[in-house]
Amino acid sequence: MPPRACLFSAASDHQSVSTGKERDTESGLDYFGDRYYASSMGRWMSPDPIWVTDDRLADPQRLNLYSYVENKPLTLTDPHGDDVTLGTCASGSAQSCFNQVQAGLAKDDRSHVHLVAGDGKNGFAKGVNGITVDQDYKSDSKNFQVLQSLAGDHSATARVDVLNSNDQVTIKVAVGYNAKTGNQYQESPISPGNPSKNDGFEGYTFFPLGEGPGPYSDGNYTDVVVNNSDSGRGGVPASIHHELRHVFLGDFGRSASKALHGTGNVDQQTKAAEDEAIKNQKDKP
Amino acid sequence: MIGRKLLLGACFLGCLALHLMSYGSAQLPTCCTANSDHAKDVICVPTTVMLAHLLHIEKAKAPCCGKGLSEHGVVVASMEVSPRGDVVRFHILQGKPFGSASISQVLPLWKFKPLLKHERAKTFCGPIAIRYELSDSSVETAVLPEIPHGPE
Repeated sequence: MPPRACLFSAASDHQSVSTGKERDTESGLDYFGDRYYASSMGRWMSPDPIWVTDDRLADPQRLNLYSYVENKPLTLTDPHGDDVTLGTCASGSAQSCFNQVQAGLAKDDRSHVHLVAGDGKNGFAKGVNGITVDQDYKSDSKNFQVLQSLAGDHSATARVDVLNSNDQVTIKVAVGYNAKTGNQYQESPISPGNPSKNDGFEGYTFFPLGEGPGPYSDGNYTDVVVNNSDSGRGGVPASIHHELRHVFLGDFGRSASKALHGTGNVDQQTKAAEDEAIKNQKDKP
Repeated sequence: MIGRKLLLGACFLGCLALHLMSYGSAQLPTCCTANSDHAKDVICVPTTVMLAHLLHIEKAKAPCCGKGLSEHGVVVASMEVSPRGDVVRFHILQGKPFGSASISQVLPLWKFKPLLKHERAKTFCGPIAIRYELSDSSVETAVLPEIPHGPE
């Protein structure tokens, strides 16, 4: 299994119809950046590097590290093969937001996390800024382990947006209900606002539409939105790692009920993520 | 000729009486407009009547995954209630995303007393306003006695 997506290039000149990825003409395998996928068999050719989690123990299909999108290729897709991306970055370039992610990690761990500019061949689509994590590196840091796990889970995507207070991101909100047909949703713009003026948030994780309470992201991905103007305790790095802990606990929304504040040890875990980020920020690069 | 005029007059008075008997539908076009596909089967009532029939308020839940989340405001919902007192439809007429999300999760679990007309339970519909204040892990709500006018 390739430890880093960006180190590999595929010798291919065809695109797979089912996955939209480059197909190696000799082997017939589709290249996803991290792994090759045999669409004829519906199987990856190397195991998923994500660690065994409680959620996976509860869902035996997800323990099969060779399966593609839980064996439902017609309903689920894994568009990039990598799973944490950087979206809008109000503090400047993607590099500056990547630095904020790194600042919440221990000094020794930072060099094992990489910013990748997507070119359509390195596991990320053109124009997408991705985060890859060395999957063969071990760290005691929980913030690192969480990021490593999220970046290695190829069945879902989390996007990190760092916005100024008045910047907008589109989300899905329930606007109606019918007992026969269920909830009705509408796309709506939202801004991080001013939490110190009782109107906004320092960070929020919008899971995809599905289980768990809304509001939801506007697509089939988890949207981590962090307020660049007012990120409260620990600043932007603490907010990013607090929210990534929600993504991890809620398994990209597939177990959203396990990510709620006041449930299990969610409050402890998110505070621990903040504390670690605050401590790590003191170690300047 | 005179008989025909009398008949028309009686019909007019009858229609007017029926109109006046209906619960304030003229004052609340929004409620029926929101459910216009079967509005003729629904009795539109004002907030006071909705509240008079309200039996159970399900407590709202905080949104999922915030850090430093703080929002307050008012959510106005047009609710349609079945003859048995269950919420069968609602539309959010006014509200910010987090407040709307928290409250819309639990509105289907609210319960009402049946609305009787000519001793028969009817489907009814009307607006309800809920003031809320939410944080990362809690949301406090209060049903308002009337719909606030103008911006929150």
